[in-house]
Amino acid sequence: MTVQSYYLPGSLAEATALLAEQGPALLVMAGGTVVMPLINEGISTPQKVMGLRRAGLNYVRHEDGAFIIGATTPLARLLESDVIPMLREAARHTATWSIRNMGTVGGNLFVPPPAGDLAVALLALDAEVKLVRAGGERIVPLSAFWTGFLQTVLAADELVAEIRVPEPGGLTAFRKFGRKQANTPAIVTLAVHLVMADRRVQEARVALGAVGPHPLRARQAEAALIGQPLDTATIATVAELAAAECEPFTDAIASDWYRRRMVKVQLSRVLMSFVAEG
Amino acid sequence: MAATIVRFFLNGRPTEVMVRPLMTLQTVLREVLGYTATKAGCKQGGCGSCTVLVNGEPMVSCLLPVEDVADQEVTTLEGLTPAEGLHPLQQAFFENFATQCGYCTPGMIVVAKALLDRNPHPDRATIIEALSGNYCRCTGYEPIIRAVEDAAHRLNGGRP
Amino acid sequence: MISPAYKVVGRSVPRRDGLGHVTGKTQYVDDIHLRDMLHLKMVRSPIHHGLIKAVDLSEAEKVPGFVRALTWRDVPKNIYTILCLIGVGPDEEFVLAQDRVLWKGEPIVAILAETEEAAMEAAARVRLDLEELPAVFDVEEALKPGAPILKPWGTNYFIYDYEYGQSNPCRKIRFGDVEAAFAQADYIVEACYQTSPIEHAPTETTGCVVRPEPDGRFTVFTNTQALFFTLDNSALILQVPFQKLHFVGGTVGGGFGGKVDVIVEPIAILGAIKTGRPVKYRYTREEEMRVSSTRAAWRMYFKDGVTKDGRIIARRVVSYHDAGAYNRHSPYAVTKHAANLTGPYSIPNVAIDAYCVYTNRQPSSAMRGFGVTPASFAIEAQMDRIAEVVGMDPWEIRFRNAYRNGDIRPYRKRVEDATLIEVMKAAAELSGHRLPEHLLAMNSWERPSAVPAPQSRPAPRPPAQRLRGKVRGVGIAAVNYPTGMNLGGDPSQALIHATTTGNFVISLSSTDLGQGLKTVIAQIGAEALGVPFENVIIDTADTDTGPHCMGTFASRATHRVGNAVIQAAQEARKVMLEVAAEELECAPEDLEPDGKGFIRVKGSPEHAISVVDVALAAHFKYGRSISGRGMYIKPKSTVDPDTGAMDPDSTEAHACTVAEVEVDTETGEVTVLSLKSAYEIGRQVNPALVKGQITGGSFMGMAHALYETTAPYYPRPDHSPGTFADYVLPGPAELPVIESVVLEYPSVNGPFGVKGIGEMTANSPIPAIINAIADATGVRLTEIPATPEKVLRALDRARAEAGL
Repeated sequence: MTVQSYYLPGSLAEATALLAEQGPALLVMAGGTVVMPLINEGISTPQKVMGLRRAGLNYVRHEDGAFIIGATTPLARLLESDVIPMLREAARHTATWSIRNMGTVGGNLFVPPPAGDLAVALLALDAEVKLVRAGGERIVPLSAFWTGFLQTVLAADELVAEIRVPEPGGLTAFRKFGRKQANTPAIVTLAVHLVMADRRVQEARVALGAVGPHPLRARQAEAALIGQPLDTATIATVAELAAAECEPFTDAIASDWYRRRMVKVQLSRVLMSFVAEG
Repeated sequence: MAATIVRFFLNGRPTEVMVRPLMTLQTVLREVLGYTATKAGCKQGGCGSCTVLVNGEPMVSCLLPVEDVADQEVTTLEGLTPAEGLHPLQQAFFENFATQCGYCTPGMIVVAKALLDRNPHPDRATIIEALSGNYCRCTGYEPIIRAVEDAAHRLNGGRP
Repeated sequence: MISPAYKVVGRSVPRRDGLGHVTGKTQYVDDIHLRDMLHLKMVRSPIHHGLIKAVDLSEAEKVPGFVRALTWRDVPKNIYTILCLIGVGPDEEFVLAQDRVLWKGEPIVAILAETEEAAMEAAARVRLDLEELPAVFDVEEALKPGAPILKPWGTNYFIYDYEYGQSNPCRKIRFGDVEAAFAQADYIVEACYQTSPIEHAPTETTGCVVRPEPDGRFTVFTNTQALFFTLDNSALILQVPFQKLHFVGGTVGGGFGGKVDVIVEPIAILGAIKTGRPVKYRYTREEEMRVSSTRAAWRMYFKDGVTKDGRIIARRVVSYHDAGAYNRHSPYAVTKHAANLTGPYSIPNVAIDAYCVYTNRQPSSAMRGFGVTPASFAIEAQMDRIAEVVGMDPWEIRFRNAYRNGDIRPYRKRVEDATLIEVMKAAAELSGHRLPEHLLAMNSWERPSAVPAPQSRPAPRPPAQRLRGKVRGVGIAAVNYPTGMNLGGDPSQALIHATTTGNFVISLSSTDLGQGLKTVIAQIGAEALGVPFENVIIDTADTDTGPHCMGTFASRATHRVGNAVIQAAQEARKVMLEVAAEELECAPEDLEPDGKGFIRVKGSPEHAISVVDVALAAHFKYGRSISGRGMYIKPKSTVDPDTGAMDPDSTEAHACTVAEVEVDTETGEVTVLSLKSAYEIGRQVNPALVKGQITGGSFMGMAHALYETTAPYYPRPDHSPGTFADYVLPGPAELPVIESVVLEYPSVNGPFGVKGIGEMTANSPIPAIINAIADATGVRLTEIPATPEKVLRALDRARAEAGL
């Protein structure tokens, strides 16, 4: 059906009220970079759509050692703010200038893999999402947010309102590997956060994108890092584990075989870059 | 089906249109207002031929509901074209043979304008990064990059 | 080389349409919005192969804004055989499917509605009752017994030569005696090469707008590359008198051969006929990728017999062209391909069997380099393979085998415009490679009586050095490209007339795809008339006012249209000089135009008259028409069914590319560092536009070699891309250094010696890159695109074999 109504609420409260009133038939859209192409092509045919661009969720605050980012903050804003370098790096490699001006931080949590590079960085940084509904809110760690391919714990009457990202205490590295240097879906996206103590890994977060139904933590790889020095042997073991535990798919860009192999190669290179830096 | 009135500034002029829900800025420009310099290469956000500036920032108009730009400043290639002569960017594209079939050209020039407005001295890598969202199948991009470099020189008074 | 003092030809004058492009004022088909216009959306088969049991429109008809549906019963002559105009059949495709579908995407029902959204919605609500049938996607599988048969005549291949009462399963070329030559050869070199289907991916999608006119005619605004071809076919399908249709085109937002299929116009016109309203039918980007015809995939089995001194004495090729579900232009491509499988080399014994095979896939059709691009890739990859087997340097082997003027090609045509050796020398120089003296002493018009023993080829680096880390390599490729096509004469015509004030209008129906035809033709016209470039007006493309042109493809436009324009200009110029002679009271032979707007007496230039005054006098004093007519036609040649003897083209251009690459042996990524090429194209009319073709074509060649395909897992149809995100193409960040040099050896039959360049520029970079990968790593790839996965798997195998 051709769209009957397009709502553009002016506040979060208005947005959640509309959601409560309209129910699951209301298609929610932030930057529109994923939803609009589907509507333009006639693949998605919602009757009612709600846009969040004007709902007052475009902000970046720095408080108590964390960055609080409004859900509809455009990705481009991260390039201008004084945010965590890994977030800036992830934003920089996402899509194109125009899409970065339109796509949002919150929206990036809902894009189908292999897209969603920022979400991978957020996952490695132990981000939390605040889910809001009319009359309540809850915080969910991003690591528990996704439950399957395009499935999340978000209830039908909830919206993602903001994302809280604690400043990382250790070394971070982000790499997006694709067929091109810019404007390309990922073959594999990696975000790593390591806290070292006495030249050994004390805490490890290894987040992988484009090699599963949603951004994944490579838990076995992380476990294998704990207590180890960052040397060639450790890196080789860890890269193998991450490659084995990821769940790659095949698409027009790359096969599952190639994606799995690139997890190993690219993670090795990322971890080696920590070594090179000392 | 409720139609709404949307008011925004198009190339500096206050403009008012009656639109259906979720009509894109691209459709409004091309079909309602007759401003066809902004093209429609894919309607998926992937080619950049529909690029316009919203408050000076490049956006793909094919994915932008026109209601989202209410009260905002929208700039298209028509707005960059002076009454007489050409904008230095247009002159540079013309003289550097940076256009063949011409379909990607409006989007390229609009993005280049946004780039030069924020960075009057971009190096080649910066130009390439800025243009990476605009697809061209004819030129192989090289003359377009040269045209942007040339335009930067002109705008900086480096060359007539 | 000749560098005559032309006044306009050879200058980089600015594009005629440049101002329109940079201001956004150039009009394209999709920019046209008419009051009361309907939008057409097509209902397409969701399955690869099946029977249509029922089509239910009842739900679709209820959608608000639905106006009308068209099924096959509404189409007056529901046969879509676009080459019927030149006698090529048979009839096997329909405008709208009748009782079966042969590919996913085949059109079944056309929906017309008030808005695009309503049309899409109604199309989505059409209910199809289909019975799925087994499908076949591999060309060799399709030819095996037991494969599902796709054609009504009972085969999965095009039957050649039925017009001679024969029934050949393939296009055959037989020249000399390959078996005897194989027996004599010192080496047999065999390989199978595979190319992928490729999408043109123009920035503007295919489309048309049809407007009913008050006088009962229909104006069709279209981005087709061939106006009359499309008009004539449309009229036959619609069974209307040809004069009822008026086609208007002009600026195509990128063609590359993808807009020659007459695919949107007939049904859109039918919609306008049935509703009395304007109709727009425009492909979405997804349709452009998944529905519009592609470049075909080819599978080519090469077997070469080679002597110790590097001469190829025998070549046998069995080639399979994947036409997809229907013919379109494929049978013609296979003929052109077969003719070009020896490339620019002299091979005395040749046997070619080229099959046009049907599979249940998106039909393939013309694309830049039609039939030749895949052949050039295989030929040049094979040359390097041969060089390695023989132990000879890659340049040396090409120089030794290069054809010379006077050689006979396997299809029995005498070589006339050979310049391969010259482009190779120029490319070597450009890339800083010093060729040995005995090669520098060679040329394309005579063969040396004796050739010294070649230098030995340097030993390759050991595997440990080539299969680890990042490695670099250099590869070369040298190609020929034939201009024009042959089937039904390949004609173009032009009309010229002068206005009262001495401006000259050249009327054509030729289309400009962006390569700059309008500019180049104006230059040729100005030169031939002897008037300034600014005084020439190009009026194109309109079938009411422009005489017939076959279309813009096959690199034919500058050559054919240019020749027609010269002939027309000569006629007009003759009248112009006669009138001037009357005014100046002398003989026409005593006069010549100065190219600056005046006609002067030879030897006494102060006695002159302006072209403006001549035109005024012609119009108001003498009643003369300063005008001319020009025609170009290539005599039709038939193809001998047994030997393949034919005359398919007019002239040969040549190119040589040196590619430098870097391979990351851990990821399989190939970065092209530079493409340095020499082109020999007869004559550059506009060097800046030629450079535009070189840069754009080189980039497209790189894209073909490493990135793009509509079937990433060919021959499986899975994961076919539908957006620019998943149709992998390099961007400006992948630009290599592109350098070029252009040589001019005027052709005997081109306008001012022009040969044409539009298609050739993508061809030599492709194998040059593949050969460079081999030079870097020792791994010889036989499939394109050489994706990182393909490269990596080959490297893994090489490492395993080397024990690394």
